Amino acid sequence: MEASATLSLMDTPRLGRAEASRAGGDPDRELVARWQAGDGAAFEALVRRHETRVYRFLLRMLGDPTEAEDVAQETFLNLHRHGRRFRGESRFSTFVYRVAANGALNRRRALGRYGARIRRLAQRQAAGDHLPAGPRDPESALEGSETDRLVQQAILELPPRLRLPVVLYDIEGLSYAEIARALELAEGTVKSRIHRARATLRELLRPVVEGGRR
Amino acid sequence: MKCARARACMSPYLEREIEPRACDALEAHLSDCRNCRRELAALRSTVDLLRDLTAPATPAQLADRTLARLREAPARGRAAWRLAPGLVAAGLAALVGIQLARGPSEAPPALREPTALPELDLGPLFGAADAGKTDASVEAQLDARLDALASDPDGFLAAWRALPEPSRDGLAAALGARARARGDARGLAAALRATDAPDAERLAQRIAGD
Repeated sequence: MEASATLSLMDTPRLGRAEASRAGGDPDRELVARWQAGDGAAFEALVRRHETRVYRFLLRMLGDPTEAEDVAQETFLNLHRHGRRFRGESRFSTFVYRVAANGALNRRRALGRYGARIRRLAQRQAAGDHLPAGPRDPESALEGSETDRLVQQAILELPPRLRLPVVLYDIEGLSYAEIARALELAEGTVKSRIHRARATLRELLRPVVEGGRR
Repeated sequence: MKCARARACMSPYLEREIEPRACDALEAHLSDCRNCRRELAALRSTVDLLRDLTAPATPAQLADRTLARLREAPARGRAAWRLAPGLVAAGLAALVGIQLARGPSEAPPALREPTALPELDLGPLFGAADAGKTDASVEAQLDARLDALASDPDGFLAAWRALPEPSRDGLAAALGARARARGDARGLAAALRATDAPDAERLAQRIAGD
């Protein structure tokens, strides 16, 4: 059910994103109200509803399944501690992304470590050791293609200030306004960071894009 | 329109966010410039690559493990906040110190437990520091925090972020006053800004007294 809600956002034409998120109201409102009134089962339902979204976002941000799961758990623990302050000024899911984003930023060591590995890869690439242009074989494509792996590597090479908004916009399907609220940034800043992130990714993924994939 | 300008407009163009006049100019340029047409197609493919990423599978029982941690966490870490005010300051110092020493990723939930902090009255401690009174024990505590901030701005931000709002401002005001008295407030603010964390600017301003 959660996946279809996310898909419907991601499938929305780019222009319609903000309108879609406003028009839909907050599907979590009732559960949040019950939880804030002391119903522990409602919080459990919120965890189950958002676990996929949070884990997927953190995996894109951190690139490591163990780190992503650990930060996902911390995200829900922090929500439980602070979430009663949530006043419904944004969607609850936006608030969840905000807490998860803070959790990811708190793992700056992990981000940096991964960044160093990726920089080494980039140096290899610059030295002529080119990355493969597309999926190696159908089996790897079924498991998550070589292209996916290269795209993920490129995402991890972005500095966190660019990585966060582009992951939230182009992968998670949030609107500019939602990202601005989640990251405490002006909408104009969010837009310009997304555009810069895409331009950087376009350079990093040049071998993939120009390697005959399309 | 020149190629450099055209390329800067391409991502907003894909989102249909550029002004009609700029849009017309870009389209006119594209009709004449094969390289920019290729560049636009490549950017569109890059965005498609992001949107076509296969969604990873969520680990089995992630929610169950999270809820199990949640049931464990509240049992620890509550009683400590019912201490006398003098011990509370030491407790806060220990909390921040431990978090900074261990790093945010290693701190178990109980150490990060900030739920009892809103009841803390930090006024006497931080009020004294903010007013420039020379209480040696206060200064020593603040110096330790500032040294930790200098050596690991990211770790400090993580610990600061874990505090509830009222304590954050109190701590930031006290640290700012002390840093300005020491003369290294500007350097510490610059170190914070270099982290690029979303809330670094807020703390940097308080440290620098901007």
